[in-house]
Amino acid sequence: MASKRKISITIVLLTAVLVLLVVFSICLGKYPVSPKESLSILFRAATFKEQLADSMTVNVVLRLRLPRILVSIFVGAALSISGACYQSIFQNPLVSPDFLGVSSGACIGAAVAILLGLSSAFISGFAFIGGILAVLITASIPALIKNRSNIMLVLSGIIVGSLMSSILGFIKFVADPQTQLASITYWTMGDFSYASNADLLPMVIVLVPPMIILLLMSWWMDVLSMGQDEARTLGANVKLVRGVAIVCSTLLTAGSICFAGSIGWVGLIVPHFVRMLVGSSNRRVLPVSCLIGGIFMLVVDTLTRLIGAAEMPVSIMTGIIGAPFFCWLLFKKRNEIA
Amino acid sequence: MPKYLWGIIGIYIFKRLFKHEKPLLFMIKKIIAILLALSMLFSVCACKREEKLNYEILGELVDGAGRTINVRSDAKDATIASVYFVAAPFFVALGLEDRVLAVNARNSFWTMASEGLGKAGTVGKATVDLEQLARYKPTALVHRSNDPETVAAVEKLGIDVICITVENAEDIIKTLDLLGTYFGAEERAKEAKDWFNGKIEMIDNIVSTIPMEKRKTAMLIGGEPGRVAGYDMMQSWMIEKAGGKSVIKEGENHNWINIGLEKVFSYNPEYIFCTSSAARNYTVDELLANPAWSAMTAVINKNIYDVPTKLDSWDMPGFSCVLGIMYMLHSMYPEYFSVSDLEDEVDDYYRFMFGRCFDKELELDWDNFK
Repeated sequence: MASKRKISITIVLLTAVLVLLVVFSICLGKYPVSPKESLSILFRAATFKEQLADSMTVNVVLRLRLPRILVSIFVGAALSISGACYQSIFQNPLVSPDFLGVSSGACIGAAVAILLGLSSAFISGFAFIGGILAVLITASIPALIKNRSNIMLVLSGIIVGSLMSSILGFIKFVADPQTQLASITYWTMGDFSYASNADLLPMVIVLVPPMIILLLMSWWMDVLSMGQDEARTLGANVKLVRGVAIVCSTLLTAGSICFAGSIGWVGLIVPHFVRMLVGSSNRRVLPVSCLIGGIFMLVVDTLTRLIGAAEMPVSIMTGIIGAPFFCWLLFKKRNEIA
Repeated sequence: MPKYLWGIIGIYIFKRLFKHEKPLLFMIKKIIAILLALSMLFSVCACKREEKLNYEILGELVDGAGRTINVRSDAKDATIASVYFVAAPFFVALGLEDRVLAVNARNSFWTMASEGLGKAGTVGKATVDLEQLARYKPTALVHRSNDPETVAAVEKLGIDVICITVENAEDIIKTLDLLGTYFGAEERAKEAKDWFNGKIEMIDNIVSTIPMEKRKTAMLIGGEPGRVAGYDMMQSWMIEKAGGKSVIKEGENHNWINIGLEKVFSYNPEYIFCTSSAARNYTVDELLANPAWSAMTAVINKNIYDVPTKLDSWDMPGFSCVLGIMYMLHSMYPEYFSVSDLEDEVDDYYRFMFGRCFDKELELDWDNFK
């Protein structure tokens, strides 16, 4: 009971922090808008009142900052929950959302679209398809060699990831070095700059259902994390639970990448941090990962927006923050690991 | 002692050692001796032969990277290779196409428009394929200035390297001088310089008649709408040359700099030009229709333009930047530089370069020109 109360308080507190950060972030940016004006624009939009500020300022707050903030929160939440889910299913703390080759497959899809000179909508679509195809290939290797164990799936993920990286390297090699190569490189580093209100509905459609499914089946994932034999004894349909969890996590990862490009570290470090906070039960880890992932991504994106004359790709910042943070986590958990 | 004697000594030692059947210790000695002999043989083979120069050195030049290169007496026969896309227009401007053995003509226009470049092979795209380069054995590789590793590797093949930097009008003149002198095309270089200087002077004269209060603010955006031509890029210089006021500040100077959409909005230029020299993930129509952009002055007045052309970019660093400047001048101040003026100048440029014009190939519809 006490534990339930504790987790409820944690969720409420994190939600409050997230809301505060959204308000804080919407007031910050390179376009000069005072916090008061930003909040007034937001309030008037929420209450359907006529805007008093000039249309440029309104556009900056409502059409640039707000969708960017929402997309970054969704992507952070999606990557974190998918990372937590993968780590739990494969009982491997080093697994990140892109280990089944989603990320590299998505990068290939996007790179092909850039090579063909297609627009940004097609780039996102190709990235999504590329990510899903890569996972299908990964999943088909254990089936082909008739060994469907977790370790085989992890190994085929490594194989497909490496193959996809080589294909991406080849695409970069044949791309025009002065034009397409730069675009491919920038895309693979992740960016929320071009998030728009038009992205929000497709994003909700792609990301929210898998998130809800994962949250609903968190108990079964706890059962599964005990080991396959124990899970079967407790009446779990191991194949189904594992399959649904992998499909949902893959959809979340591919969806996130298609909206924001490839972003590393979030799905790896956030679940670890969350386990330190709330323990290892997925019923607690998954919802808290969602919130902390969203908070982390929002903070990172706000920093990339504000630091320096040029906007830094998100992956650079997640790496800069993520690597030392992971080191700290390892330090804290050193006895457990030993 | 001559170097080949080391090789002979090595072979002698090798033979002597193999005459005996001895235990393991001696075998080790043998192996070491064999390795030593082999290393000596390889060193003899690998040693660069001291070649006698079959040309005279007439003087020295300083290239775009500040390196000193020799002017050769056989300059008029010197052949060329390059992977640097910026170099191709200079080869055409200097009439050197027939001496180009390998080129990275990044789009089909240059290979289509120039017979010489069309026949040329390739030695790589961004990086130089050294073996392929050695196969072509050009006299010189024309290369970018910021790649010292490639320069060193190519020089080891006995091929001269001429580095070029093209970021403004002064660089263009220097490059014409440099390549013209090295390849013995001084006369054509002078013609090209005169043509270029004449056009710049003409543009300056027109711009000087535009009152300061009428001058427009402008920026040139790159592959993404938030990525703009930096302060130090030729494209920003082109805007200023065309009588515009570039909104990009002095600190924003990292080539194509991702300043972000908020910054673009805060600059709110009256004119926005979209590059044709980079892969883009947007179109002008998309920007004009995007609700987030609706309050931008350039969108309200429909002053967002694609810099022509898709095949031969007029905003690429190099000779064709004159056309880019004229296009910007016409877009911002049509009353000072009409579409027919632009048409005449485009015609003059392509005739000067290739002896013919390419309106059809470049899809230049002058009756509906925007």
